[in-house]
Amino acid sequence: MMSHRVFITGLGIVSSIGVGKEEFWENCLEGNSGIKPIRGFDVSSYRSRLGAQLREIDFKTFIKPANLRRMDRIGKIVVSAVRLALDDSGIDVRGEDPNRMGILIGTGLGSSDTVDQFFRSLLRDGPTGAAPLLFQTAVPNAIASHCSIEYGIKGVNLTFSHKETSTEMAMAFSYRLLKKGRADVILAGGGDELSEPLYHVYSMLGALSPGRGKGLEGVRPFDQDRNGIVLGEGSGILVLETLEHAEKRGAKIYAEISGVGMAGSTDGLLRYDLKGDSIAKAMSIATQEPSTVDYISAAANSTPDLDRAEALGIKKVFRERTKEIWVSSLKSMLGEFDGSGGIRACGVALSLYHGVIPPTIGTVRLDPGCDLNVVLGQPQKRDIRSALLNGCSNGGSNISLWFKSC
Amino acid sequence: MRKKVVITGLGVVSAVGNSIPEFWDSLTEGKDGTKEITAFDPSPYRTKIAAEVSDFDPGAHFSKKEIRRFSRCDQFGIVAFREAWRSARLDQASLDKEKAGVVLGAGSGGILSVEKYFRDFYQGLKRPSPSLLISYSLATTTDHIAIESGLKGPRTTTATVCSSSSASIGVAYEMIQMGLADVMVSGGSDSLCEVSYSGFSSLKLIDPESCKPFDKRRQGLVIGEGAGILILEEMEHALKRDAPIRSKLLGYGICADAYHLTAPEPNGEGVERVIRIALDRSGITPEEVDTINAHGTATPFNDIAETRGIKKVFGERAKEIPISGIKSMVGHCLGSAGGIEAVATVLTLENGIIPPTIHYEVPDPLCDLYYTPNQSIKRDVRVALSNSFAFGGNNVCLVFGKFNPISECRMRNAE
Repeated sequence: MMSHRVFITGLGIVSSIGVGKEEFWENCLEGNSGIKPIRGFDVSSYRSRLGAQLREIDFKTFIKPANLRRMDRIGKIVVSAVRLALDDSGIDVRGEDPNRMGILIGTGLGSSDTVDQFFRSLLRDGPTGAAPLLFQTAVPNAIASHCSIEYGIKGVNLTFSHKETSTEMAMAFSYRLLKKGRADVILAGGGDELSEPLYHVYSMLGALSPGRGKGLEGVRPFDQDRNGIVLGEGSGILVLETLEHAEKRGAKIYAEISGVGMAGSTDGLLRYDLKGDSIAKAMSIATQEPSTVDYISAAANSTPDLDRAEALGIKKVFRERTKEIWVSSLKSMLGEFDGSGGIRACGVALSLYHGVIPPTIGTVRLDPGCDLNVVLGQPQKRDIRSALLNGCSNGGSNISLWFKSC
Repeated sequence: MRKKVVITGLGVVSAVGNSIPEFWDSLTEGKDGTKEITAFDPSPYRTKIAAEVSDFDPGAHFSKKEIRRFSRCDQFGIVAFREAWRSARLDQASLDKEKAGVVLGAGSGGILSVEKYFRDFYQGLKRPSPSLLISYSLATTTDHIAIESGLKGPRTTTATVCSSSSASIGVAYEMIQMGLADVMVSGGSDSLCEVSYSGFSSLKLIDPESCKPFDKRRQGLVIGEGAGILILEEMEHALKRDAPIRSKLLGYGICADAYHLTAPEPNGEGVERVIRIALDRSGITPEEVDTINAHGTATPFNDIAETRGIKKVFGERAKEIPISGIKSMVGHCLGSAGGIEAVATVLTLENGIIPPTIHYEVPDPLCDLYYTPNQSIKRDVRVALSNSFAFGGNNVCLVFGKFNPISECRMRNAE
């Protein structure tokens, strides 16, 4: 059976450091963080104060009014990213075969705020208070349904929800389907929102910086004083396209996706891969030519366990080449959220396209256990032959995607 | 070259039986699992029934500490997984766990535990235990199963609710095709909770008496709960270890209606497309299909759309194909519906018995196919479909085929 090459031809970004690729990329390179004191809800009862929230967005500029009123906030965020991605790619959906276009979305907690509103109305008013409009947008697949309805896209449509690897899986599966010719174009990525109930849950589970210790709250991947995550939100969507389809319409190409790898670790329900073996395995499966890898966009999220494990995993795969490979974690600016992979993948595509790697900010003193070649301070200008994007979830799903420059 | 994928293990927890033999007996006898709700107080609701799992004793399967940490959804999933794993004889096999993974579908997931937490939290009654929040992620059951059995292959969770666990079987199939795994655990688990019950209730989609798919008197679903787990295995791997092969998974289709957030496309156009994609991917013609395990939710619109879609694919022959609506017995188990129905479809192929659609009395002129009313039938089944559709028009169709060791052997020799 014929195998197709898969290219990234459009980027849609709705992030705490910018809406649209231009603003996002400028802030990435300047190291401008989206992390600020939480607005919108009261955090005085928590040990943490920070989050990387989106600023106010006028969703009317991105979404048809009739559809907009049926969407909750996360739906609007992701559909806006889809719109930006389609506009960036130059694809006119009306001119495409709707059965050959697909949507694959990853979201960890989807409409957590809508579910919470629905539940509170149920507690307050009983079954008669439960609002049907809230319920139909509360299901995790509502986001992908909104996207398909907005654009009449009728091909493959799927939603993944697996903690911090939700979007990586959506992109990896899209790659597989395009490679096998099941679609011409797939909008792949996803996102999550930072809601009050979600903040509460993460806080109660002890996941948020500064944890139970006395350290400073903040994100500093690979730093010796790192102490947990800061939550973020946003959405990143990639237009993925087969070579044939991209060539026929003369598409602009950012990068090629050339491989995906997956591996599970089994260290505990809320534990990352402790020894880095599964992270290493995912990277090894994804890359057919490890000697060309010049950049790794890390999953490192400023937790003691994951950053050390990812460093171990990178060293297991690249051995003496490790010091030549530039590593950066965009989570240092975006914060951590389950659906961050789409935005971070857009970042990798932009790095390959422009030949520049954004810095990891917040990190001051590298942990001796994380002795990688981390980009600190200034962005690194250099030609990148190929790059890896890592996604690692607590509980132990690890996914890597391998991108090549074109 | 495309790998062949077979089913080597099955496990189930459901309102009509917490093991495969009990479940299958109930289905073939047309037993209804619907009962008065005990999971929460149904008195404020117009409808008071659900297909709840009964006779499920967590203490028989889990330690006290595990019971505190595992949601009801996790417990169903793990128990069904253990049955499937044992029945595939994988507990004895020297399996390469680096090439064994888990993809489950999720619906409400551990929301029952999270509900408990937030009910206490918002009402300020007492300080709820944060361990109830461990189940906040839909991935929890998937991770528990992989961790319990040390499976280090690919792992993810699909989240299209009513079609989640069918989609998970498609994704697991693809993981084997990609060479990432020899063995994949797939299917799903879900437990009854007030959030999803009140949600369907608010949409007026729940029948107050019983689930009556394709019957003119149907008024909607009966919500169910449970788990249906299937072990998918690359055929050569299964043959080499002399595994008990139950059926083949020939292929799957996934597509979108792109029509409405809750209502199906009324002409069955999405149903038609997903069946055609699945058949095409499986190398099967419509003439070869012997039975269909329907989505059959018994909502007024679903059953008409599904009937129309089936007629578009199968034409005149549609009336001769026995269709089963087993939600009439197990209810609509949301995140595990597709898994439980896939288990039933494999058992149909294996045993040559097509389970009935019960409560079928008054024909609907708009649902004019053969729904295997009230009595199971014996029939040699070589190819069976299992349909699942979800809110927002997320459609999945799975194609299962009978495993015939002699013809498989001949084909291998010829190759």
